[in-house]
Amino acid sequence: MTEVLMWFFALLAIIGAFTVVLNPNPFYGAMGLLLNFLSIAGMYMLLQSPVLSLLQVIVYAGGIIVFFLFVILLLHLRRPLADRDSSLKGVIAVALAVVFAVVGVSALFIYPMNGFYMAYVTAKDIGQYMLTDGLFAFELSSFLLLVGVVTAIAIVKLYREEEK
Amino acid sequence: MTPVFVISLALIMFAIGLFGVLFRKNFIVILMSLELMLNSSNLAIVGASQMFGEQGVQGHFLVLMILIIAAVEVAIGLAIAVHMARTADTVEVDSLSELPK
Repeated sequence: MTEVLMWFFALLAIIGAFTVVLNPNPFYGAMGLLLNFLSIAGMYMLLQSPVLSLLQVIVYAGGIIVFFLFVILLLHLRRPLADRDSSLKGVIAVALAVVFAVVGVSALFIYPMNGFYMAYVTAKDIGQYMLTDGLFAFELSSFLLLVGVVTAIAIVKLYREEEK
Repeated sequence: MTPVFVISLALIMFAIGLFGVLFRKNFIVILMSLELMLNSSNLAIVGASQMFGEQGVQGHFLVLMILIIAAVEVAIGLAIAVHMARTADTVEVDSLSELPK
């Protein structure tokens, strides 16, 4: 059962990823990204990490996808986007991606790796780690979120000030 | 289900995202490909941290941090996309160069 589900989710993730990079319409690209995020959430569930799976659905599939769709529908650029590089750059991009994947995957087979020694990670475990050893990174991430909000508002306000 | 399978899937997804960043000119699609790359790195970290049993909680914490970084990156990137569409009326990155060719 696990084997079937694992191949199913992997196939859906690859299909979603190809939809993102190959579909000329960004809206369908966002739908492909949604498919990819949901199948990765399924992979997390198979990897015995239900907390990350639910966070993936809530934050990525629920938040970031809606954010992308808002911007795509808000801008509604009328010009058809013929934005693919079919020239030499495209060939170089394909070659780089293929070289990266082949070298990375073959590097996994050089040294024997351990099998899974899974732990069922609950929210309690992650929370305990977060508030003891990872406290500094946790506080810094809250500061990073604040900086992100201020920067986004500042960039959007830039236009108003130029207009006056 | 082996770690090699999970990390191979993550590498292939990362390569697809890299291809998207290099190949497409639409800024929003480039941001989506970046999300794909961050997401595949998350998958690789979870797959690797599940080889270490209870100590793998550190990896899950790292994934949470990457989640926050991805959210901030998308917020700022889409703000830049909105600004780009208002000032230049396009989101294609190649049409923004101002130096004469």
